[in-house]
Amino acid sequence: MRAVSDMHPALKIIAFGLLFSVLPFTISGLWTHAVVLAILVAMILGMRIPYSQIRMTYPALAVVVLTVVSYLAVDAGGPTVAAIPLGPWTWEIRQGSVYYATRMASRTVIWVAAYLILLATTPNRAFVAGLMALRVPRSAAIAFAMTIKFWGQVVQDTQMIVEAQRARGVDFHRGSPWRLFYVRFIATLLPIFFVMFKRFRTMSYALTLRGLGAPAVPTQFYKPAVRARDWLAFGGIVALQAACVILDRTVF
Amino acid sequence: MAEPVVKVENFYFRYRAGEPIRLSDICFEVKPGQFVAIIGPSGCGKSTLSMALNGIIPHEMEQCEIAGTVLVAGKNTRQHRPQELVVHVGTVLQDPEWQLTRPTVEDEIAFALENLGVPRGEIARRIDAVVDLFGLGEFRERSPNELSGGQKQRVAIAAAFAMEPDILLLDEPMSELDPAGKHLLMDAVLTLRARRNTTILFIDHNLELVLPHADQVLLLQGGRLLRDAPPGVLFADRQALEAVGFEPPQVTQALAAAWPEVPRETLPLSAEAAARLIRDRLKVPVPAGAGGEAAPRPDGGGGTAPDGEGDAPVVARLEDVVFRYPGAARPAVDGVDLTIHRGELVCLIGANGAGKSTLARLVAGLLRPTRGVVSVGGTPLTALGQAEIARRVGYVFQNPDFQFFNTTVFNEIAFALRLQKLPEDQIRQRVEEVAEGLGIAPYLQEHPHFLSRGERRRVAIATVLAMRPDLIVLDEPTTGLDQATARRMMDLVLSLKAQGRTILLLTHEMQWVAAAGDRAVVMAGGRVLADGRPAEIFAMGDQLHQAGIVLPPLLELGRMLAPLGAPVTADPQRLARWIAAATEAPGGGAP
Repeated sequence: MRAVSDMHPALKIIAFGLLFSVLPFTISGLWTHAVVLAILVAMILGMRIPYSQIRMTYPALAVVVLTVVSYLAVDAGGPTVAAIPLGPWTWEIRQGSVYYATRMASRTVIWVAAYLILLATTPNRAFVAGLMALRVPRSAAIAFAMTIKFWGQVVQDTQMIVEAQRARGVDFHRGSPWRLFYVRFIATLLPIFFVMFKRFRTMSYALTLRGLGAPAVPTQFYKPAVRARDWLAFGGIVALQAACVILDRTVF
Repeated sequence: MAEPVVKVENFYFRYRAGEPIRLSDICFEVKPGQFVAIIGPSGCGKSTLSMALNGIIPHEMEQCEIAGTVLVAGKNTRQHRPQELVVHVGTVLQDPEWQLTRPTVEDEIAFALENLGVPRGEIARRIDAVVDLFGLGEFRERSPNELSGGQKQRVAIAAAFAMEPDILLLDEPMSELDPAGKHLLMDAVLTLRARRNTTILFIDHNLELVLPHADQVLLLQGGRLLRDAPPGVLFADRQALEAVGFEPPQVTQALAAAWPEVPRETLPLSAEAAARLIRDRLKVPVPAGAGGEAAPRPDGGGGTAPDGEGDAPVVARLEDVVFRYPGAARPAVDGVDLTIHRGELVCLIGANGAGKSTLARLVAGLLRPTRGVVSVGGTPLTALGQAEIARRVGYVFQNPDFQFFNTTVFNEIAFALRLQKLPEDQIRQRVEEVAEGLGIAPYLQEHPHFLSRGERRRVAIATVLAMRPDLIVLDEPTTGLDQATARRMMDLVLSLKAQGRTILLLTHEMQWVAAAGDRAVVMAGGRVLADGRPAEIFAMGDQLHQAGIVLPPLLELGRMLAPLGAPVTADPQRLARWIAAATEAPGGGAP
């Protein structure tokens, strides 16, 4: 597992960011999806990705739930497996809908797990080096790195704003829906807007004053080399993915 | 005669037509290797001038109006973009969080060099050099997000210095640092200057720390250059000082009062230089009881009883309080016992990261202790709702921008009162009352975000005062304010105390602790290291240094001279009396 987590960032971006994104489109069997998921979960456990980082993926669960509900709402044929009364209507869930809902949910979880491995095991600077090795424009790679770096700061500022409002007696949990909307959005978003506006201006000046956009051809100081073991780890992942596709076509 | 490295001629600027003029008739020169302090009240144009020097003006300011010339290392800033000027001017900005944009300290230092196309080998050499110089070795691979404010500013200076600029321009770099962090930063700047003859342009409000090192001071007011003079000459110029509401350093004030016949411009500005001069001029033997002092005895502070000795009712009590942030290796607050009595002004001091803000947030009920009990007015906070806690404990955040969201100052102050469902006429009465008391009545219909920093702070205090809390927590109320505004802010704090309010003041400004505090509570590593009258605390010596506390220059001077019988005092006049009695005045020439 260490060979995978320490893999050259460019190869890791291809393996987990690209190939694992495409893989679900090349398989159709639910059992194959389960095998792919099992491989990814084994990697997450083997790489000892901390729970605090796994927890960051929870918002994606909402996407999974919405995906499942929307697929179940569509009549995809087959016998009815459940009928849910909704007042004057009855929601009939067909076998085909269950199949597609499960497949779409599995795909989403595969994508989330692959990106979790990619982001949790690749330091920010290595990620930028990986993107640049893949010929992503330097400005885009830097913008990506800054987004990741400052996200934590934005969250911290937001918490501070919530605290400042609580210190004034604002209760974020009780009251009418209108009042809750008012305190949760207006009382929080407006200060965030002003604070961020001032800070982004500082950041913009800071980038200019560090010479970003200077006429010289930029140097890339951190430029890790691709080692033989990186190719081996990458080959292993590609082989696993190929095995899953063959399994899907021949067994499941 | 060396050519000036900075030459500004008749410079004029405003953001766009119809807006106020920000800078006008600015003319000055700076020679290579000079240390130039740029000072003036908030809004006088210091930061605007800094942006004119590094080329942000005019290149990043669309539609601005500009006239005159700014030459930096012989280059006209109108004809050269800031990206071209960075090899001559390295800039360090005020906000340590948002000027560091890269994933690691090493990347941050390398970033500007990469942009300038410096070869990789040379980048590695320069990184090694500045990492050694600034003692950043242990942080090299770490994210700037994990560093303290002082460490971040050191990284920012290291990154600017790695470009090997002719000029280092620092725009209020010390505003968020603790006293020890300020001294470390100043030492780093002075080291740079000594090693490479780098020209230093230093914008700051902390005159006591900056001016002793300055060769030249540019005093700005209302967008104009009021004076361009050496610091001693400037402080002899009462007219200029009165115009901006500034005072000379307290050490200089004491010497001037002791030796009125000595020209002010010849008096030293730092405690060390003053102590040397006084020792040279001592009468031998020192007259017994000089200045009415029988023996060195520290004073300072208002002087009610320290913790546990007062008869006044208890407003807040912390009993064996522990708080640990999720995932943190050690508690941020670790076994703290603290009692605050009615009418006290308790100053909470300590280095960045000592646990002061966490403790204050526990008192305000914004955090729940991992262990122990926090009670206000005898009731544990766990038994109170957030609205009731807010009514009892008012917390004024360091950055008022975090709390404002209403479109007028009136509605901002009234907001919490409306949450309490008070009648509208009572709300109006309370708002007008606090606005009058804090001098913000003229701004009641203004948008709070468009006021100056000092005014925004006062609005933030008004939002709390209007709730009439039992305890007011003030988190760094003077940070980033100029000398006159900070003094007005502390006058306001003292007037609140005089009205019988109980105040917990978090501050890095030791002169205010000495002048105003009843008690000083020193925190280090999440624990209370000491709790007593400010004078007792300031007499602690090395223990204070370990806690990241540095004495204000006047107290430091008193401490240095204490073996000779000098009082350790925050009152310049009192020290002046001892100096006058114990020394011969210098004979009119330069000491």
